[in-house]
Amino acid sequence: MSLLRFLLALLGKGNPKTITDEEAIHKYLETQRSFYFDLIYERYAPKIFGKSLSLMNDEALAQDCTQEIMMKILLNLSKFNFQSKFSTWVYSITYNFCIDKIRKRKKNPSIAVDDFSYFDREDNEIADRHLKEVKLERLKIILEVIPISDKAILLMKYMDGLSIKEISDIISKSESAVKMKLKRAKEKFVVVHNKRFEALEV
Amino acid sequence: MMSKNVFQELQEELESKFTKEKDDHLKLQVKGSMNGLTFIADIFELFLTKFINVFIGKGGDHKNKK
Repeated sequence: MSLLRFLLALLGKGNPKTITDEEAIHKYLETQRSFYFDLIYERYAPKIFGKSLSLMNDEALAQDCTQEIMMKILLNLSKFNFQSKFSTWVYSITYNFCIDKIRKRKKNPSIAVDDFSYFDREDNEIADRHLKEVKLERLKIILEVIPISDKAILLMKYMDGLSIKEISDIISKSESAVKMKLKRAKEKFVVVHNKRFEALEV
Repeated sequence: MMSKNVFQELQEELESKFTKEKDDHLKLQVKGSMNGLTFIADIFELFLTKFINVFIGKGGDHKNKK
């Protein structure tokens, strides 16, 4: 192991685990070495695939998306301004790409907006724990049903733990608009949950 | 250590579907596409350099002739 470290140090590559995303990007842009490409790829390809799959609900499509998103990231790497975290930038590309793709396909199996109109809006401060404590199997079903933009914002908030500011940067909306969208998404989530599963619990 | 919420459990489950086979295939495709684009960019750069050299060269000759 120490021999490997020595060899890596000799090649000026360092220990892959200690190289930050930002260092890897700098080095990749400077040298175009596949070592740095592999580092970025290995860290993000599974995450991008997971996110694409959660949005697209189709493994083959998610794989195609991952390839296209990886290409997009690599081709635009020089445009990354290091102002935000690299992971946030990657998620931003991933979410926007998948949402565009779904909208183009116009096959989003979502519930019509009217279906949510009966929600009691006066009692709508939904605690985060209501969403976070849903059973995994139920979560999958609910995410398949709610509209893509609501699904994406919920994933950004609860899966990636992004802040309102980060989400607002990703979807290019004001922070207050993000808060409102998030509130609506949570409402829809609860409506679908109650519609589908409340009967089971009674 | 903070416990994972159900959304993060889902993310883990979905990431685990990114199998070695998928990984190898995808890496190959991305690398292939990148190499292809790099090759095209190199050729384009070569042509552009040649073109500029010829253009500047002609300009230079023209000035020298004068």
